[in-house]
Amino acid sequence: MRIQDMPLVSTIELPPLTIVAGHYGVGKTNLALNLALMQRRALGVDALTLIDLDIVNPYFRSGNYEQGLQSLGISFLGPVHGASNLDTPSLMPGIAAALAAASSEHPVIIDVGGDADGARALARFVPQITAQPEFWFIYVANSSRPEVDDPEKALAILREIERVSGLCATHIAGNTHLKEQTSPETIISSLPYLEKLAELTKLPLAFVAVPHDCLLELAQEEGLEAQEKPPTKTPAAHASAAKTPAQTPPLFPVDILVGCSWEDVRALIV
Amino acid sequence: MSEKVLMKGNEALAEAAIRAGCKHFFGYPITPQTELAAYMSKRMPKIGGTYLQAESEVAAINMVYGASAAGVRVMTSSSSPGVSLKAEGVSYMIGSDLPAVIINVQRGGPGLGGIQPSQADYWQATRAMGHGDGHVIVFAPATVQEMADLVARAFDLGDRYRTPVMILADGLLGQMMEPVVLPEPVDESNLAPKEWATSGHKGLRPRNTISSLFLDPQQLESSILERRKRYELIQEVEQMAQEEYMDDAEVVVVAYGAASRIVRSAVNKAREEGLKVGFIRPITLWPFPTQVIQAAAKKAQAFLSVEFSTGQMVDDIRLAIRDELPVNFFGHTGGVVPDPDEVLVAIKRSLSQETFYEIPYQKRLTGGA
Repeated sequence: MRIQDMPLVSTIELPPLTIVAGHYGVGKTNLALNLALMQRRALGVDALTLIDLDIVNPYFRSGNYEQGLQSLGISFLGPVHGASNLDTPSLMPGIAAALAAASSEHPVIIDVGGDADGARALARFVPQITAQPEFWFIYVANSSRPEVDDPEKALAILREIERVSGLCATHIAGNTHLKEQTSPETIISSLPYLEKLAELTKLPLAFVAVPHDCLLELAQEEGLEAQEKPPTKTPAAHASAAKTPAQTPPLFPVDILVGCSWEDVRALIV
Repeated sequence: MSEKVLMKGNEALAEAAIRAGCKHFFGYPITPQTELAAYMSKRMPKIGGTYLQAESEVAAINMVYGASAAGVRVMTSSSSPGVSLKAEGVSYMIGSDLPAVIINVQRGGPGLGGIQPSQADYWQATRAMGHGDGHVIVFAPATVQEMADLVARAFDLGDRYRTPVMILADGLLGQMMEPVVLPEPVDESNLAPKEWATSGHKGLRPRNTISSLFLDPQQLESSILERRKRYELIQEVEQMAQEEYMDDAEVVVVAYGAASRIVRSAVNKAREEGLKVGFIRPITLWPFPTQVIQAAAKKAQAFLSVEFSTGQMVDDIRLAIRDELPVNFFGHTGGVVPDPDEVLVAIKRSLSQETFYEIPYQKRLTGGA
């Protein structure tokens, strides 16, 4: 898998229900927010629901952007906190209904808490999730996190998450980064890791996330097409993308949103 | 050199402790420190160490006392309310001359307070980390890298001076992720033997006794005075601070830990505007870096302390310069974090010879943690 061969896409064709899970701190929330904003661009206002299922850590949740997301017409369901950051695990009653109603016109993205502890909250929604004809369970992989820095360790944590949540992952997504210090080398050196993880898990690599700034450097250094390909969103293309992912996974440009104020996030996306 | 990895401040503190030869951790979970204990709970069994979640902070610190008395490198961690609970045990450790590393990932107080970052435990850490005539050495890292780097130094100084050492972080540093190069593991065979430890005399040496109880006042006074000599040495040789833009500084901004990151942005902006502002970042809070503060006072016209509190370090600046120059204060507390533009305004007011001590009342929409 060479980075030069990986197509650059602005849209990942997602099924009606997408679950974003993985080891703690790999960038699940940032990826879930990026996928949600991507869906918002593709489908418009009032089409999308983002569910924050992280009830194990009170920081860096997608729920921090609840008001902002809603102002963009993204429905949001997350833990209820009396004073915004009380450390009390609780789940909104509307989650099961939202999952049952997920469709290609009204897709749902679930941002799961880290590790098996965080994935435990998924287990009670298994009936609604598996009732969907198709869903993606994306295992987010970041090789710069020490507890998953080799594919065997990442596999062990995936198996724990699957055991506790009662669901099996369907895809892997590459999300290796070093925040602002992410370089083309960071991404390139993660590719053998992702290939090995895909081989061990027998799962397709759905895409490799690359921060926008890093993508510009990559374009210069590796001669990638700087022009992003227009999104294709015919239902047929969507179905084939989900069932038989291309041999060469695409590069998906992302913004670093987590940790930014909503004003900064808005400036990036509007 | 090892590779860069992406870690939370809390995780970096834990991994750096293990690499500094710490194989024993006793604690009790509390936000925003919990990742540190969680990391230890996963790693300690793999390296043949001890991780124990005690029934309370009071129990945890007394387990630390026991492990330290047995001569091993030991750590505990907590956040503000939990650190208050540990204070009794820390005082006993001071009185018994026992080294250990204690982490405080501060949150808003007093009482249960909140779970957002704060620097309101400065007085507790530097003045009264327990009852009695005593001190602990206090380090204040400002980046995840520095959190990793200071842990080994904390263990070394603790062993050298036979004293508890605190790393005073806050929720911002504990929770934030940054790329970090982890320190190389220490060679434990190079560590000085602890001849005072109660680790079994095997009939080969006299029995060691570790206690903080001295019923004879003369004896208690001489034990305190002996310790005080060590404190004087620490104050002389262990001060650490970082200085920037000090050559022509008319106003010197002093800030530590997470606040120093915001202040650095503000000072950089001020310098871009041609303003003569300098920056001192204390890395040790006790001993307070009086040497660089006093040197700065010879050339500057005023100081400005910026803290996530109602103004606590400001006392140490005033003491260091014996109130010979105005010391302004600007901050926010309770989990509210100042932004660089507010600090820039405070810098400009200090340059125009205004004197002030304030926390503006304001409500801001905060995004993120």
